[in-house]
Amino acid sequence: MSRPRVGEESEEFRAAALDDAVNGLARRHPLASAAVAFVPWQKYTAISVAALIAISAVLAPLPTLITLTVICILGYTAMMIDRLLIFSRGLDASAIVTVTDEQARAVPDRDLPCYTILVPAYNEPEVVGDLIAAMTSLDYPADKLQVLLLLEEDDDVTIEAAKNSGVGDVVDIVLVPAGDPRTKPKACNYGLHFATGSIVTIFDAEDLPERLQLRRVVAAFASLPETVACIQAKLAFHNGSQNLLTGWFTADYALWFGYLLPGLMRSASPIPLGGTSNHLRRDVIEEVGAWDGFNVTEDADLGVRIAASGYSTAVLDSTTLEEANSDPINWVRQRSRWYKGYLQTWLVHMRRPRETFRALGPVGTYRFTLLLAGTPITACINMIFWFTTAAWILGQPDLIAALFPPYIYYLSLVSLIFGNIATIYMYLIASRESDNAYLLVPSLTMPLYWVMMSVAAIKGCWQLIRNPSYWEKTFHGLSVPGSTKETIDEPAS
Amino acid sequence: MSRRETWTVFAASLAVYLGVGLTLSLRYGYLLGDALARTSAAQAVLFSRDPHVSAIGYIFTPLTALAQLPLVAFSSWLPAITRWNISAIAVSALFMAGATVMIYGICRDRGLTKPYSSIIAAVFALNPMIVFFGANGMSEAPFLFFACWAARRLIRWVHTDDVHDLVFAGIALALAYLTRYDAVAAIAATTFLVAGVTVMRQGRAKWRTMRRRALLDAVLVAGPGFSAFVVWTATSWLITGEALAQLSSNYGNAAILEQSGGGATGTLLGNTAFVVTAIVVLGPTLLIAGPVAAVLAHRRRDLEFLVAPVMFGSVLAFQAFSYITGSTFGFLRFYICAIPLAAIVVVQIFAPQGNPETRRTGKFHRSRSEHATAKTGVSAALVALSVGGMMVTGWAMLQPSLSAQQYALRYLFDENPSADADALAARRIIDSFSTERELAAYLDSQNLPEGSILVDTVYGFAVVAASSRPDQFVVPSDQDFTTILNDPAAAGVQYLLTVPNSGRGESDAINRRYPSIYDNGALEFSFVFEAPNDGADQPDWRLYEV
Repeated sequence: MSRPRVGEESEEFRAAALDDAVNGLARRHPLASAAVAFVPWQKYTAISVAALIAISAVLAPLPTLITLTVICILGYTAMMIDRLLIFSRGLDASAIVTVTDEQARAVPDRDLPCYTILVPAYNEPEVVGDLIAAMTSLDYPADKLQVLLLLEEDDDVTIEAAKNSGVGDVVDIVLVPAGDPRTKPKACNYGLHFATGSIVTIFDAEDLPERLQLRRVVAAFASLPETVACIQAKLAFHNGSQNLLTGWFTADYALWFGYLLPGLMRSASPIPLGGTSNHLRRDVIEEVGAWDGFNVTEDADLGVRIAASGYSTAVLDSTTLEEANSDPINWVRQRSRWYKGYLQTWLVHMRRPRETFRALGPVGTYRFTLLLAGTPITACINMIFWFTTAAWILGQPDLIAALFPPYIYYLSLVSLIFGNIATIYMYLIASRESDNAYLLVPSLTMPLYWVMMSVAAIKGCWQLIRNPSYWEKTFHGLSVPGSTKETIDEPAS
Repeated sequence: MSRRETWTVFAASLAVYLGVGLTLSLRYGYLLGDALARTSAAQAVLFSRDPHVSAIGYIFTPLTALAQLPLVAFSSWLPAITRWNISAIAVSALFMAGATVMIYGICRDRGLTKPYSSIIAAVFALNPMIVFFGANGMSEAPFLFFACWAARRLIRWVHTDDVHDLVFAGIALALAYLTRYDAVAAIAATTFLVAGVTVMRQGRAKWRTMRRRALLDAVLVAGPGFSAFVVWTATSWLITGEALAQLSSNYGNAAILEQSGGGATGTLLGNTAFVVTAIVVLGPTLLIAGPVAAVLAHRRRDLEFLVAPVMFGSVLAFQAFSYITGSTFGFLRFYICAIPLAAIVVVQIFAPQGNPETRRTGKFHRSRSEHATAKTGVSAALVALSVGGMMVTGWAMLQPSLSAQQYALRYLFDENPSADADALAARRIIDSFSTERELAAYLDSQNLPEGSILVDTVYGFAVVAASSRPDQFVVPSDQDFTTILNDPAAAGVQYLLTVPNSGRGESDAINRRYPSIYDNGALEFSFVFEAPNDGADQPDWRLYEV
């Protein structure tokens, strides 16, 4: 498909591109799209399992509960062990890909490849102006850098704000034709039709990427093997000290991007990408199918698809600063979308379990399940076990004693105590190594954050069943003093 | 330091400690009570008539006993494992060999060559006190291993600022706490040290900017130990109702002290003299090497020097303070930390060479500056000093006045014991628990059903450990012990093993329920026989029939 200049595309081109953006993946790889959340066999399996549990619960309540408890505890223990293993691998200084400033600047401008940055934005008039500062501060020759600001064509407030801020002088504004699903991946897919770069990345409008990030990516791609299709930069927050929630979120990201992702890179595992700063090789993403417009965590999905296609992702030691959600309700909405998306992604890639097993390998499939399915499910189940523990400490009721026969009691005690303490300790280590000593209190109070995660997980699981492709919009600009927050109800897809 | 070096040092030390330990136990029958008691606790977890993990006991921290569980699991096929304390000996040998590896590692981290490191490690490993405690199954061995591991990591951390070193030091200290609770002093002291070192990382003028980071580093090193303390205390409280059982329980330290006639009986000055003497005889090189190392460290601006005195010194100070104020016994082994302290201080006299390898160099790492290597003469002098120190320790171990528990070793090889008081007392110490083994053999031969013999483990641990059928005993760790104690006949108990109701025997549960049972069977039970004890500080047993 020939690439028209932005603003000069024909109506046919727009319609075709929109159609491809929404349905392209489903057409080329029918089972790879989350357009349908559950395929029939998954639906029947889920219903049968639920029925089986219900019947056994009636016929033999105690053995059923014990079996369920044992399964949960084994799952917890597996996740805890894996997380410790991955963390210890990621803590090595050599785990992450490091490109020094000299190496980054070593490539002369004329040898740099063309780069496309996609900036999808919806209903974000207050931050679209920030894009100017972020893009102009990037150290990359202007003639090789294409920045596409992707706005929905009926998003008048943002288009107006964009025009007024003069951002059109620095970037190309692409108007995405209106249509459902109204999601970020659909917009990115649409924007890809205009992209001229051989490396593509996504940034949010309010992101502050590190100046040399693009040059570092180029240098990294040159030194890494051909099979590396994506380079993920680290994400961090500039407003970590705003309140306890942003502190938790900052510690969360510090651990994930600083140590768990590099550890995953060193282990046999697909890598769920971050929402932004994932630098992709154009030719590879066209081959594997770009983003899934129906998946609410399209980044995680693409990461798994990259691994399942035989490619890999590397983690780069370069940081993009974002804004952490400082409002609890907003945070829960965002996190519930992530958990829903993780489950969506897992379900999509488990539609042909044998194929996925062959593509990712046994360890890769195991880790993929632990990460994408395990995280949201354990977050949900946590609530039940917290109540059980509280009841046990307060009254030691016999029912709970019966639920935990000796062989599972000690394992669950160890996984509870040791697991929680070890996790908090990992956050403390991550805070120290990310040079964020002010995260001491948030790290120590992590259990409260886990309660919020549990609430978000329950919400996400519920939404998965009721409304899979509904995109819970995150509001930005909350760290800007004096900004007004309006709660706008998002229309369902 | 290569893997080959590690395994060579480990294997060599392990061979020595196992060899000595098995000889002492199997050939001479010389066992130590505290070690045998832990073996008995481990055995109770698996093979008592009511096996459960909390049988490990909450008076003392559990790690040494728990470490024996894998070996004790085989004791139902090989009763000798518990009877001759082999599981405990294996555990202490393994850990003491580990401690030797750590000392060797500290030498290599400092940049010493292999020959010198081997010599210093050998002088440590062959120190008579170290050999004895690597061989006898006591908790000093795991404690020294964890303390030396923590010291090694912290010494490295001073220059590398590597978070791995800090984290492992914290974990090692937590494990040391789970071995002996004296580690609390070490944890507290090292926390302050770590905070102090971090706060000064950017120089004295900028200490304010480093405050937060210093706090974080302190939390990282103290966190595991603090968590271990909280979890252990909470578990103890949940299971037994007493949070700090080692202090408050009837079987605990304070009670033992009172019943045995107290710890320090002299004046404040006299007690202090004992403490100082004990430390000096265990680490005589400290007298010379200490000041020399301090001066050199000051000249080199070397903070590494502070780690060992702070860590081991705090434990020694804690023990000294406890003894002087009369709340603990005057045992030489409580000051065993002086030995690794002396070894490390000697190492610190050598100038540092190179930098140890790090997995993640910290933000404030400093390369150690190059200094000239020590002259051969100096090194030889230090070695001679250390060997001399070893001999002083060996001599001290054999003096009854200083070494109440170990001096009997002097008489071990005496084929024809003389009749003087010391020799006789030593003979009795060596023969400890032989009567209990005979009792166990007799009871085993009666082929009694499960739960036939009621006994408390204050003294009874030795009988239970020596028996090949521990389930025939009803012991306090059984959850129905109190019910059975109140009505033995109804529960099918046939015999009661009793001890005199004096001294530590006062804490015996049978004596507390039936105070006159030893004297006259509490007018309920009939006397079967008395077994006068050949061992020292062991009771004359009386068996009563229900």
